Amino acid sequence: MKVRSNLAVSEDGFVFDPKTGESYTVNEVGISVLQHLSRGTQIDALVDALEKEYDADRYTLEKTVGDFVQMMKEYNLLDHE
Amino acid sequence: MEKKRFERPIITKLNTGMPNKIGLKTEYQPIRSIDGVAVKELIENYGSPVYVISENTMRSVYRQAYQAFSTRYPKIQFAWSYKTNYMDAVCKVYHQEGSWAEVVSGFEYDKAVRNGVPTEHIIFNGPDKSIEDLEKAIRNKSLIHIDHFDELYTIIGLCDRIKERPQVAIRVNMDTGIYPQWTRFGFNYDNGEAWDAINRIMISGKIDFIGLHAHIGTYIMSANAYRIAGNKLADLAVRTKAKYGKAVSYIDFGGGFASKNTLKGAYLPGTDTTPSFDEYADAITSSIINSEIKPEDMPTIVLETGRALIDDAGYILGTVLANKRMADGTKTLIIDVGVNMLFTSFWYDHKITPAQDFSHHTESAKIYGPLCMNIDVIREYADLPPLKKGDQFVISRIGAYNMTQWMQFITYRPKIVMIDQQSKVHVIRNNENLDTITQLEKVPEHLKSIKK
Ligand SMILES: Cc1ncc(COP(=O)(O)O)c(C=O)c1O
Repeated sequence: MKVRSNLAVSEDGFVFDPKTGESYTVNEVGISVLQHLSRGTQIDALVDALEKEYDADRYTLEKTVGDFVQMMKEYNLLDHE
Repeated sequence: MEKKRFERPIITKLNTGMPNKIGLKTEYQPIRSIDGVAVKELIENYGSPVYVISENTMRSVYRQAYQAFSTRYPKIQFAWSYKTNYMDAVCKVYHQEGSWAEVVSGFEYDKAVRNGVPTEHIIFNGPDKSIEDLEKAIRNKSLIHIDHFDELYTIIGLCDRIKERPQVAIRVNMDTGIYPQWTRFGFNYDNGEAWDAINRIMISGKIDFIGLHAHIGTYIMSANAYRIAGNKLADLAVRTKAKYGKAVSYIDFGGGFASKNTLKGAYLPGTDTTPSFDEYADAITSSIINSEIKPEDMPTIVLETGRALIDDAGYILGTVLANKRMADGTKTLIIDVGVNMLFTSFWYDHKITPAQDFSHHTESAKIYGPLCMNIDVIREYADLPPLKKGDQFVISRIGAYNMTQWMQFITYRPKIVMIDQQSKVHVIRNNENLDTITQLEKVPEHLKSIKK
């Protein structure tokens, strides 16, 4: 699973999709998830990384990241493999 | 190294050019404490959910309201509307501030007496007063507001038996230019029924006719409606004086001032649209001052303000139970506060604020209570920072009607605490338990054992 390569992601969390002209905002954890995904990090490794950095249990992380990815899909921001 | 606080990752589509409905960009701050007591601590010590009442807010709002009227008119009397919130501790705060009691049932009447309110300072409203209620109120010289002709004739009948003169007012309904018109209660002004009632009372010779009352509705957004009501009530007072030489001693404008809550479906938040106490006071007092009532006959203005006094002082604190994404992509939040504890969520888009820090990012979510029912929706749509299981929140402005219209359903009703002016927390109503709920039940002998 990968983030579409033509998405513009700014440091403060603005995302612009040149294909549709839509823009989005993401929060801090969202930015981190986006960065990992665009580097091709797998979900498991991504959750590992978040677990080190944030005060949250693994179950919460998996569930919330899964939800985030679902929304990315819904907005057509992921590459179809 | 200390780990960072985790906020659920969210992505939100920006709708450029489309103003955010209700303008609820979360530029507000988290509510971490109420009157100096941490929300976290309140939940830890008293459970989740828990109702919280701020004595400080109660008193300061009351004083603002009183001042708005008393600076414009010399004789002002508030009467606390028991149905709005009849927790004893709540009523007593208002009674300490000088409020009389306004009750609408035998139960509320007895509660007011037990709270120490002098019986001649209890206003007895409503269409449902039993014979016993009326007898008691007559003997106690309470202020009986007659709702309909049947009640009037019952009172006249009672006069022969009880050797006391009932102290009465009539409730008047009328067109004040607002919709809906509450014509169900009292006697109509516009078709002459109210004047008819006054004449029947006066010629009975057995009753002291001392006041006029109108409660034109609730959450009245137009201060001018009260001006119209005042004009009509003053007209009745003037005609009574002209015909019988008798001046009424008070004119009671009922309740109905809007609180700062946002009505469901309103485009602008209530904080922007609700008239101030000053605006209501201006309309009401000028309708009496500028009437034909003679200066020596100026009546006391009585106010039965409910929600506008107590709403801001009440909170319910709770905890997020779960997050869900519906099949259609709608984000939903399940919280431990259901509509049975927050009856007013049928009327209002209550403000929900996280109790912990959050970023400026928000997403829209539908908020459900924990009841296993479809109607259990606290907010159809709220822009909130991403909350996760276990996060705590504060629902504000819930002081009116929730602690009286609540329903016990599938679980126990929680504690109510009051924070006093020294930030000391007092339980003013305990949570229910299996015993308190079942103590009135009786099981027939043949069902005592479930063995066949
Ligand atoms: C007779 C009477 N007085 C006062 C009130 C209090 O009204 P509010 O809470 O709108 O001020 C009510 C409420 O319905 C009422 O029926």
